[in-house]
Parts: sequence; C-alpha cells; structure tokens
Amino acid sequence: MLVELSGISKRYKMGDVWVDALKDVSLSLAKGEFLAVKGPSGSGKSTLLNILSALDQCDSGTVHVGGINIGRLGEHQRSKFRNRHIGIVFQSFNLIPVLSALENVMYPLTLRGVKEAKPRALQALRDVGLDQQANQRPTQLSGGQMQRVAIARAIVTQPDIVLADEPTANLDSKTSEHIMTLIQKLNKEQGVTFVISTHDDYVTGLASRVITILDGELVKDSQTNISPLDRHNRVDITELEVKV
Amino acid sequence: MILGWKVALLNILRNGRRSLITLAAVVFGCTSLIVFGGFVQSMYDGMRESMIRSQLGHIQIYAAGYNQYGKAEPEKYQIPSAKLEQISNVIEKQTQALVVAPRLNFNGLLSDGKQSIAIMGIGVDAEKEVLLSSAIHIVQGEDLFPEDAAAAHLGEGLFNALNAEVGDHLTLLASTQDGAINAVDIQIAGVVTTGVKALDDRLLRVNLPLAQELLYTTDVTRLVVLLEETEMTDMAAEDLGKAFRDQNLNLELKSWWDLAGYYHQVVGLFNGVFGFITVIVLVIVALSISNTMLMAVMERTREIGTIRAMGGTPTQVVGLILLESVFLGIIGSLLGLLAGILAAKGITYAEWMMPRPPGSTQDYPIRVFVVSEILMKTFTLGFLISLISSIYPAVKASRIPVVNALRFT
Ligand SMILES: Nc1ncnc2c1ncn2[C@@H]1O[C@H](COP(=O)(O)OP(=O)(O)OP(=O)(O)O)[C@@H](O)[C@H]1O
Ligand SMILES: [Mg+2]
Repeated sequence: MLVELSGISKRYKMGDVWVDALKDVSLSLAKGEFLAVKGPSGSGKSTLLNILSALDQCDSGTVHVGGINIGRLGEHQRSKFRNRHIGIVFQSFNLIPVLSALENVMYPLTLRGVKEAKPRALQALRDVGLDQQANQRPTQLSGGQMQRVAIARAIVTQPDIVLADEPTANLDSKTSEHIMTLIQKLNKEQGVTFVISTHDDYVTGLASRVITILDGELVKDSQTNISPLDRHNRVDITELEVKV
Repeated sequence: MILGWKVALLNILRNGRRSLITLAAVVFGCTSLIVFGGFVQSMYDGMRESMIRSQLGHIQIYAAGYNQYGKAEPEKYQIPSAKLEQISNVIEKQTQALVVAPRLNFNGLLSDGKQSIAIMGIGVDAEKEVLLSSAIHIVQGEDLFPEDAAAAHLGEGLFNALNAEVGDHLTLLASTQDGAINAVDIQIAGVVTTGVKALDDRLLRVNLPLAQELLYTTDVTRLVVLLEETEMTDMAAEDLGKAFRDQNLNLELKSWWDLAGYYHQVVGLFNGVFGFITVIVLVIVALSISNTMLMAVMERTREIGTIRAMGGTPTQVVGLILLESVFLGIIGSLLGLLAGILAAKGITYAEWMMPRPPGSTQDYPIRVFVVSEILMKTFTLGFLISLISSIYPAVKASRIPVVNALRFT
C-alpha cells in the first residue's frame, strides 16, 4: 500500500473547548487511486489532507507514506519529505506572484537543487496545457489557468501522491469541470495518485473512490462500503449546527 | 539557487515601501557615520596641525638628558651654540626638513611698572619661526624682525592682562643661568594667538639674542624641525636618532606624537564619543530594519507557508529572507556611501563656522574629511547591520507552523 493511516486522531483547542477534528481514522490507499474526500464543512477533510501531506501532525495513530513513518520525522526532514513525495494543490492556488508560471513550476525542483528544472517544468506545463503561458506572471492568468499552473507545480516533482484541498472551490463550474477533467486525465494517463477533498458531487463522480467524513469520523468508504446507519442521523445535526 | 536570488530581488521591488524604509535607515546610518567620522578626523587633523605649526614642530631635538633632568637644572642640559651648525647639517642631510629653528625657553616676570605677570618666554629665530609657527596668528601689531632687538610678541591673554598698547616698553625679568637676576627692556611689537588659551595667557616671544642676553648664555634649549608632511615624522625621527648616535652628538629627540599629550586626550575622548554614537546609530538602524522586515515578512506569511508546503526547509526560508536583506544592505550601504560623501563635501563647501572648542581661541569652519578607512568600515557596518537585524524576522517567519501560515490571509 502506498499510504497507510491507522488510528489517526487530531484535536484542536478552540477557546476552552477541545474539538475532535479527526477521531480514530484508518485508511489505506493504493498507488494510482483517485480518492475523493466528502463531508460537510468542519467535518475534518482539511485536517485529514494536512496530516497525509505531512503539513500537520496527528495526536495519535501512525501515517506511512511509501513506507516512511512520517510521524517520526522532524521539521526539516518533513520538509524534505514533502518535497520528494508530496504534491499539494491549494484552494486559492498560492502561486508566487513575483515569478512567472514556468518559474513557479520550477520552484519545488530548485528547492532541492535539481539542475534540469526548466525542461521538466516545461513538460509539466505542457501536461496541463499551459506551455503557451509559461512566461506570464500569475496576475496575467485566469483562475483556471492559475490552478493549472499549481497542478503542474504539484506534479513536476513526480510525487507519490498529490493532495488537493477543494481545488475547485474558487472557480466557476465550467472551469471546475476543466480542472477536474485534467486531474482525471493525469490520474488515468500518468498514474498520478490524487486525494481531493470536495463538497462538489461532480468531483466525487469522477473519483475512483469516495470516502465520507463526518464529525471527524470516517463513516463511508465506496471501496469497502462501510456505512453504519446509526450515524446517518447525525449528518443533519452537524449540517444544522454549521448553518447556525 | 538562482530562483531564490530572483525571488529575493523581485520581492524587494514588490515591497516598495518596506524597501524604501529599510534603505532609508541604512542610508541614514551610513551618512551619519561618514559625516561624523569625517568631522572628527578633520578636527583631529586641524588640532594636530595647529599644535605642530604653532608650538611643537614635527620633531624637537634636545641635549641628552634634557627631558629627564632639564626641569630641575635647565642650564645643564642645553645645546651649545658651537654645535648648532653641525647639528643643523646632520638634520638637513637626514631629512627633507623645511625649517630647523633654535629656541631658548625661559620663565620670567613681565612688568608694566604697576604689576608683574609670570610669563613663559621663548627666544626664537624670528625669520625661521615665520615658517615654523605659521599657525600663530598676529592679532595686533606686526611680525618679529631680527633687527628690532627689543621687539616682543605677547600672547593675547597676557596682553589683555596688562595695561599696555602695541609699541609700549615693558621690563622683562629672569634669573640668569648662574642664578643672578637680570632684566631687559622689551617693546611690544605684536599680539599673537596660538589657538590654545592657556598658552596665550603666558606666552612671550622675543628674538633669540635678547633671550640669550637675558639668561647670560649662548646656548639654546632645543632645535625644532618642521617637515614637509606630518606623515614623514616617524621615518625622519628614526633616521635622525640613528645619525645622532652614529656621530656621538649626545642628543635626544621627541616627535610631536610624544609631545602632544592634549591631542591624545582629545582623540581618546572623541573616539569614545564616536564609538558611543556609532552604537546608538546602529541600534536605531537595526530596530528600524528589524521592524519593517518583520512587517514585510508577516505580510508574506502565506507565501512562506506555500514554500514550506512545497518542501522548503525552515533554513531555506531563513536564507531567502536574509538574501533579501543582503541585497537591501548592499544597495543601502552603497547609497549611504554616496550620500555620506556628498554630505561631507557639501558641509565642507558650505563653510559653516564651528562652535569654538573649549580651551581654544580661534574659530574654524566645519570641515568633514572623506576618509577611505571610514567609508570601508561604514559599508561593512551598513551591510552587516541589515543582515543581522533581519535574522529575528527571518527566524520568526520560518518557525510559523506550515498549516497556520497557509491559513493566513
Ligand atoms: N488550527 C485549528 N485550530 C482550531 N480548530 C481547528 C483548526 N483547524 C481545524 N479546526 C477545527 O477542526 C474541525 C475540522 O476542520 P477542517 O478544516 O478539517 O474541516 P473541513 O472538513 O476541511 O471543513 P471545510 O469544508 O469548511 O473546509 C473544525 O471544527 C475546525 O473548526
Ligand atoms: Mg477544509
């Protein structure tokens, strides 16, 4: 298995109360999967992705990615780990504004001192269909184009897994579809492993596997089909609470 | 990592306000250090040259033992006239001396009939002293001329203490070398100032023959040597000392450096003041840079979070931010040098008058030297201070947990 999560828990302190963002989540993921993570707002999707991508650490449980126990890594090693094994796509693109599209894509490679960063970055831009815009600054690009650059930046290092936390939330539905089609294509043609959190049913429709998180618990997995009925009642309650 | 350089440079341009404040702080710091340092240097220089050219000369030559025992028995440690010629020849051969002038020092009383004032007398070779003591200014009256056997120059303070006019006759009393009291008549030819008040209050200059007549001697106390440039002093002193020893002339010598105790005190004091001001300027500059840098870095928290998410290590983030301050520091220090040099030249050109320093009797226009040593030190300091003051903001930025940094809006 490429990714092995077992018994992950994470709590946050909000004022005086402790919030359980994740409760005893276990999950394994094979190479080449396209996993969508569903769940209402505040259910713990981002927390899960952050732990998977070694951006954050869990309070208990273990995370193995490509055989590496990332809970054991220090700050420096986790940075190196992210650079080698993880690609991240953000909701709001997070491109570096002073650099061109091409330089943004080169950045993760130059961080580790790769010499032939430029041809690889150009190839990645070609993969997302943006090689014509290589020399433009982010401000000259549309939202969809910026997200394509961000995807190119995530795949250019050929990571084990690309994590995208609501990558289409800032895009209109038409552009979202294009982006999702691109992701699906990269998954199918290049075998890139994707984990995407979303509210969007269109996204979940494209995924090869969908898991649902509720109140920090994994309540449904399309692969294993665990869906304990007794938890369904709480869906409404949580969504109500969030709306209030 | 070329991209890092580019990001650093472009971030400097992007963050215009921050960059301007930082540059302004560095430029301010450099300019103050250059101007104040150059001013202090010009002050040292002025004081040194005025001491050399009013009293000390570059090198003074005495009979061996004079400096140790001459105070108690001056008459035993004089240079006999007979040897003057020979010594002068040696000096002229060894150094490119402009002037070698004999002086006979004595203490005495000057009386205008009503009151007597203790004076410090010097018998001089009037013609040579015109060159040697060019920093002595005549306030009233005229130069000393060898033909006017009784002519005398009075220090300004001394003159004011007496109830006398230029041209008046006064009586000068002193004890001769064998202990008798002797008196001569002098005529006030002029009133002079050396720039040092304590000296002006007691100074009396007469022609050497008159002083020798008064003291009943043919000897002189010292020979004063004026060189072309003050920088030549050490070499000349060394050569002379060697020549004197070789020829068994039984002489000793001192350079202005040995004699200018007051100069060294002032230099010591002002170096202390300059050091203190340097520290204050550096602290101000450091705080200002550190503060703006902190703000600029915090504004970019999200970007830093992104770099960390892509696998940039905390060290790389620190390096990135320090690189920016290295650029800012270099640019700021270069601009600071330029501004400092311009300010120094401008102030010198404007010829503002300086407030009269304590113990001095002359006004000078403010001069600010451009000293290459100070420029180099200032550049290094300007560069280092911008680097050092960015360490805290850089480290702080690198320590923000990645998740929090990414959440930052
Ligand atoms: N840094 C934090 N400090 C405090 N509480 C946090 C923090 N991060 C997340 N939480 C809390 O943990 C819970 C899960 O948050 P998470 O962001 O993972 O939800 P999400 O499913 O991504 O929601 P959304 O769909 O709105 O993005 C929420 O209750 C949230 O308030
Ligand atoms: Mg989220």
